[in-house]
Amino acid sequence: MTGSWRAFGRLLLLQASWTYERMQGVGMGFAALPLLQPLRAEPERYRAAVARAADYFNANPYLAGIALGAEARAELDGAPGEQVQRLRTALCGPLGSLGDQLFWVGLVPGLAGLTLSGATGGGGAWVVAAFVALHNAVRLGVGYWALRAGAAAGLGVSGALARSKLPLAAAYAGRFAGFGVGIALPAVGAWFLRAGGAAGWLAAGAAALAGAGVARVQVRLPSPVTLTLVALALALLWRWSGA
Amino acid sequence: MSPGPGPLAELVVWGTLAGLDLVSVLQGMLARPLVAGTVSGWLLGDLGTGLRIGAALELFALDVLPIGAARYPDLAAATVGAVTAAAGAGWSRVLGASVGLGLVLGLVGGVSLPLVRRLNARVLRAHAAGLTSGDPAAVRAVHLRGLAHDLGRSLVLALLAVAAGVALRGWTLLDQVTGEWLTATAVAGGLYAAAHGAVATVRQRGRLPWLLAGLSVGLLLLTL
Repeated sequence: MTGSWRAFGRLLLLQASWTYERMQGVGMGFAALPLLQPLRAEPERYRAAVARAADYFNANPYLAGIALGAEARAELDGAPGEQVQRLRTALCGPLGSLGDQLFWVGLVPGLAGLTLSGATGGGGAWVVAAFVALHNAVRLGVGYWALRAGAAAGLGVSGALARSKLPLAAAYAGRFAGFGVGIALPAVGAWFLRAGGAAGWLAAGAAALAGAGVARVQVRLPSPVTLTLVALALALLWRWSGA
Repeated sequence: MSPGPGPLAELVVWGTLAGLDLVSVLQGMLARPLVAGTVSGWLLGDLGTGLRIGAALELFALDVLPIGAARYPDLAAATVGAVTAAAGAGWSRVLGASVGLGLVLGLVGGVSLPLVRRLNARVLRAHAAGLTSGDPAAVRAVHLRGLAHDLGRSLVLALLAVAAGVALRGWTLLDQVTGEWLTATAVAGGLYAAAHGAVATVRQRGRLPWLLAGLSVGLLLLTL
């Protein structure tokens, strides 16, 4: 499809104009402009397509290319505007849920966990560099594949999405995340608290168990960041009060 | 000794890039504390401290889901500030205080995100007619103004973080014992956050066995 590389580049800026009104909509419109160039010969059709492309949209940014490609293909093929709009609306939920499961709940915490254990286990900065390289290889590869797959499928994109390996990958990504973070917890705790002896280990284990317990029973407490800041302030006061 | 203007300028540039990466540009993990901290440590000539501060703040990031309209701390520039404060001093004394600074800066960064979104909304409303009529110039204007807003936000946060880091550099008022207490508290808080995040995301999806398997392997590796 003409302009697909430029559209892909613009997709990397998808959320720059994020608003509560249209969410990623204007970003989608911006990314769609190179793909809609062939319609410029018909100004009315072109402007209607641009208006639809910049309307409300929200999905996982890494997979948004599927919707962008499918919508552009439908517009170029002359599909009715209402049908294009329905397609766009229908894709928001699945692409948001699938992408968030695959990346934010799966790949990112899993890779971050493995990176933490590798970096603290002696790999140092090289493991961190590998984390960035690997994540971006997957992120850019999936992003470009998504745009191509959407553009190839057009209005039939829902079926193409269901037939793809993404739902399966999302399920495995979650398990990977659990495993990666699981390995990281003792590795990082040991790295920091090794000098603290048995007391350090006890404190680290108790803190991790408390966090897991609070999440497990769904007790409503202030966020871990707030709790830690309060604990730091109390520790400082306790020390400075001469205890 | 305080870093010279060259490294400080590099830290501000790095903090700005990492801040942009959080939402607007790429989302290529440059904003993760582990990455932001390691690079900051390298820029300051103290890779080890950068890695340690980054790893400690990464534990808190594991409890964050940066999705859609959710509110979350922005730990990118915050990590740069925390490393600036800690670099060159013994990590066991200054890590806890620096992580505390990073968390406070992260909360400030988190507040800045909805502000930028409201600014974007103002531009959106000013171009509402153009967007509705499908004017490509209006689409470009709104989007590029949004990018400029986030660039400004990231730059201000990076300047604030580096300034705070320089002002508190070395944590000279902290004695060794108090510093170690704060470090133990911050690490315990990070482990609490990471475990909380791990269980919260695996709870309803049958992934708990994988978390437990990872924990077992992690503990086993420690004994080797």
